[in-house]
Amino acid sequence: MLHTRNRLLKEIERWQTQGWITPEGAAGIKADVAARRSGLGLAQVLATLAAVLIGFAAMSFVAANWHDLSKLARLAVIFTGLWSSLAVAGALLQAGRGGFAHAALLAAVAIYGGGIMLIAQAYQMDGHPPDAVLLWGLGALAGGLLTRSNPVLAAALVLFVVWHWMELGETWNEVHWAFLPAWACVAGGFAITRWRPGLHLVCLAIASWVIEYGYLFGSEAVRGHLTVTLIGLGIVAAGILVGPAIDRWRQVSGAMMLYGFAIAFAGAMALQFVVDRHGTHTLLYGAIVLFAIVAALAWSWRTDNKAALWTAYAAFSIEIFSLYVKKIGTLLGTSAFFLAAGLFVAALAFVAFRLHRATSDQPGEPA
Amino acid sequence: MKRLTTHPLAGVIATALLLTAILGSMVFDRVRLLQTAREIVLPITPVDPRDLFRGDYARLTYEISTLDSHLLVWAPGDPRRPKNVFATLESDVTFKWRVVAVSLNLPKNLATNQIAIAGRLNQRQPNSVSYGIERYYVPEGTGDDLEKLARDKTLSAVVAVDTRGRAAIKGLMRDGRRIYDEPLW
Repeated sequence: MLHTRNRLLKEIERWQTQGWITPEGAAGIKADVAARRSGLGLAQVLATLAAVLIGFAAMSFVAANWHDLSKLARLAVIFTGLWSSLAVAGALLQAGRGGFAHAALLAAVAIYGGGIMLIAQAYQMDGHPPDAVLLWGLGALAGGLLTRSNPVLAAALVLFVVWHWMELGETWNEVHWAFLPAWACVAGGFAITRWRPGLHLVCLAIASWVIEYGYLFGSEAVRGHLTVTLIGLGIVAAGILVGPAIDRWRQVSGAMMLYGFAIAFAGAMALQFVVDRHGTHTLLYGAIVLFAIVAALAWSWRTDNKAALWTAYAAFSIEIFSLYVKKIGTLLGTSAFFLAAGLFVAALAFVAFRLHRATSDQPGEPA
Repeated sequence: MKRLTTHPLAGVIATALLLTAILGSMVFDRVRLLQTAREIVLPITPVDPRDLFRGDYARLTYEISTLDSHLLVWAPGDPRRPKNVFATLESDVTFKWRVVAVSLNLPKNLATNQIAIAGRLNQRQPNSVSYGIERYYVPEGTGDDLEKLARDKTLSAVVAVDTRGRAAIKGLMRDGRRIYDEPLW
């Protein structure tokens, strides 16, 4: 946000120098920008950090295993902490301090998690440890949905990811389907609140889940990684074909392009360098992947999707470096491949330049 | 950040009630199990002392934690083997409990010297099963004594097992005498 504001202020000065806006107009816009700047931003961030620290305090309290206190007394401490946090959240809401209320809600959810651990400890409950994290995540999810709190929903997602990893740690060869409904509930929550960072969090979580799926059938199995690649390409295709229609509901097509491409690239990397480790099809795979990356770059540029653009740049660098290290047959073969690819991309650049000039030279268009 | 719901206080109150209900149900469920379930005594087998304590809890294993291969109704390497099972325990004249059968469903019509206990198979060790009674929290600084007792083979766990096969540790015994007793509250 700070970066955007500073950039806008520089642009205003440039527009004023160019004479496109009057000094009065520039002053008015700057005043409006300054007025919109939230002075509570830092305070809210600190409050959220404080909530996280309170959560760790609750967990440390459990770890301290206070045998000097009776179980009832320990439970009283946890319930008092839980209700106090929620009471503070309610009071802050009444006072119109929504940002701080979210921090108090986050603290309450953290104390609730501490409570689960405390009860498990006090009553010698061992059981299946991931179940405790799932119960924590479900409580956070319910709290996040009931209060429409984005930080609490984000905490629920983090807890579900931790739960997923704990389950996966026990059964590495099984797809953990149960993660999907939990993920979908959090995604639905963020769809209701329309929180952009939340969209990226759920996309990151599901992208990791899909990529990891490819390795569950054995790292050298084509089936898993091919499925991952196709899923990624499917998401990209959906983003192109039906993205604009979905955008009328929620702006997600850009994220679909970004994460779909990242998933497809991760799958393609595994196919190229894990499955085909002996380099039988390196030339074919390398050519297809490079072509796909260049297409993604072009599309990202055209749609002004900066995140996807930088991801495609990164993918291009990783792909080139990986091919260079692996070699296509011999060093000479690798050199020939890069030369051919370079000439192809140069030809594309030339076509793009001609198209750009043709568009710019049209009457009525700014040069 | 987005504003909270139209009736924000209602959301907070609903959250408070829900989270309290979840934590409360955990406590009452456990207390009920400890109060009403049948009590059995299981000897604790010695474990590697280096791994026995992590922080303030003891890792306990039992003789019933390892299943005899002939009791398994699936092949050791079968990827479709179940996660959750029920072990039927039977006590002999010396009140020593051992596993006599393993099933996928809760067994019914058991003899009076038998009891069913729910377990979860260890995915990495085909014959190993956990019953949710493998961790025992101890007061700070008392771990060494418990570790020595476990190594001397004189330690037993008093376990409550309810009609659904759920188990909970009620306390620890040494040579027939309770040395730790879990209060309900």
